[in-house]
Amino acid sequence: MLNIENLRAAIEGKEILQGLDLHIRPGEVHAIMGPNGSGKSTLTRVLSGDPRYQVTGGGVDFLGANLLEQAPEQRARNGLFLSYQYPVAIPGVSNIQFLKAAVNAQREAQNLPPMDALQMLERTREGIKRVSLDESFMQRPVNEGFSGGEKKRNELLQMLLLEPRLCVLDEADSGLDIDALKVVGEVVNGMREANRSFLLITHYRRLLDHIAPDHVHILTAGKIIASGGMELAEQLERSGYRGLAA
Amino acid sequence: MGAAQSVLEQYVPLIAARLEGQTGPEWLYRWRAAAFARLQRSGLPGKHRESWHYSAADLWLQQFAEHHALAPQARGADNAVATDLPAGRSLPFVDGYLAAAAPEDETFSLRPLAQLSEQEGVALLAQSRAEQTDPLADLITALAPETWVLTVKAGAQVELPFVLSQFASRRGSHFAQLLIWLQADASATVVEDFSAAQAAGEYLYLSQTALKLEQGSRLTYTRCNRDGADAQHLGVTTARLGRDAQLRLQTLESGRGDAGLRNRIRNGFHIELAETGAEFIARGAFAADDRQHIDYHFTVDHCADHGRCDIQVQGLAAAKSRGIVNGRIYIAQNTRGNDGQFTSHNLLLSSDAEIDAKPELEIYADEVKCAHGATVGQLDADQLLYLQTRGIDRDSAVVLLTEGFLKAGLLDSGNADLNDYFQRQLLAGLEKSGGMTV
Repeated sequence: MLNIENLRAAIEGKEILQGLDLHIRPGEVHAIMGPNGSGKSTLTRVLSGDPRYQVTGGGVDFLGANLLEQAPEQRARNGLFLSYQYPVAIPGVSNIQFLKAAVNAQREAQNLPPMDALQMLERTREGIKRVSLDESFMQRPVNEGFSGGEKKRNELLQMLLLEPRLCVLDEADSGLDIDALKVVGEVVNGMREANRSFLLITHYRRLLDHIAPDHVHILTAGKIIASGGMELAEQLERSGYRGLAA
Repeated sequence: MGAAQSVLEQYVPLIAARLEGQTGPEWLYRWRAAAFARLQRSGLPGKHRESWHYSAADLWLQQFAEHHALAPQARGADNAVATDLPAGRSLPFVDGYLAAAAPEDETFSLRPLAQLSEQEGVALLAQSRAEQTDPLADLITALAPETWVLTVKAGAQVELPFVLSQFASRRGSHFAQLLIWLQADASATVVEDFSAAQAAGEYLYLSQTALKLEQGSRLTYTRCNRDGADAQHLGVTTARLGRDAQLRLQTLESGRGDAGLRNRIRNGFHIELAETGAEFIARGAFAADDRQHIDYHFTVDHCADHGRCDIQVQGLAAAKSRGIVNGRIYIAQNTRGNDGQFTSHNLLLSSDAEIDAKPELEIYADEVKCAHGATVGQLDADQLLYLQTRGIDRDSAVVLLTEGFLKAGLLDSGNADLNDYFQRQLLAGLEKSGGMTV
């Protein structure tokens, strides 16, 4: 589904990713763990198409096409979803208006008619229940005045409605209490299927207690230095990044 | 010879003839004559006046006079008003003339100014020093063929909004003058919607709306400009607020991507918080596109204690348009407990567009709470990217963000149908041109 080969990327002339390789097959859940400054967020930004990041080498193939040649909206329409670590607020645009625009933009790309208003409402209500938000969030401006946890739940709501093929969750666990962490686990586990993959990016093992990954990777200095299963995350918990690097 | 002098000289014989031919009561004649005298002393407003720095009305009038008559158009034969305003108590005006029978019931009346008693007329017209400071108001007073007074009677709580369609049907000069008088403890909602026939062509709309709010009265007043592509509109709204009166004002100007070279709109708002506890809340929004020129000018005078004023304007300029948000809040000496806020946030969608925003404060009292501020910026790159990463293309994302931005300049009129209608009007220009001509 996603093949990253020797990816190098920079921001403002500073190279952050220094030859990253990653291969995700349909249905798999991968976790990337790494210390601060290792390039985790740069990877998500590059995948999303943030124009401030320059790809200086390597390539990314997503579902058989060159991802790096696609505009951000094209990547999303092809099935890529990024759950932001710090989602921006959009004053004046209600959540339901935003969700409708996003869902219908993706439907249009698939030559489908816009979603019926009633169906949209029902699906949003259902999603809101699954991420444990209040229905009033439908009318509130996107992420404006939301707590950190509410923002993360709102990202999950979008993920539920957009039904992407590959979900990249950038520190979906940061700043969350135990209950909110459980919600993240339930939503991701509920969406796991043979044709959908996940890439979890996190500092800590605790998210992986709720979502069992198929593969765990350790990212340091812009490269994956180790790959394995859950035992790698456990080893990391015991020895820390320094111990693992040694 | 300057533009102001030259064009004023063209107006003088028109006004003199109008005064000479006036058959109404003496007090009305004196009112118009006084305005004429002031106009001759002050001249027409232009760049030489600080408050008209960005909109040289004298030059606009001069340019208009090169191809069109400055005299008000006579009443036309066609009284049809094409409007899609939501239901309300409809008061249609065509080219400044009332185009229906004047309605009246136990709560309100619409009458020609000349039909007021001398006592009423003198009391009403002596009210506002604000209107005496604007030469444009004097020009309209001296020359408007019809002046109507909408009176909401003391204590009346009128639920159904008054919907005044100010419709320009053809080319030429149109004058509209309206006085809205809320007597003590009355409340009402008034919408004044300026629109034009498709084939109206080049026209000049000179409009004045004078508001008098007596003690304890409450008015929600919306002024919506949807003028034609080749329209020039010089508008002035004046208000005098009595004790504990409240004026909630909304001003909107929707963008149009087909604006002619001389699509220019200037709206001046002169508000006098004349007595203790008066409150003025204003929200404004404009979406200037193509070569539009849109200018809002606010002056608010806190003349008594415990007045409150809160002005917020959201402006957007695309293509080669220009938007202006200007004015000042004045706090008089020896007043106490006044609160004045004046902010303006603006978005530039093109490197060829221009925004001039300068909200000012002028304070002569010690015990006040005041703030002013203005921002001019561009669309937030993170917000744009966020929407794009959800599959929304860039143009649609620009529309969503600009819509969201402008909504902060919308006032809740208390009437859901009107709220929806004006939101649609404001955003229609954006949607038609796919996010304006960025």
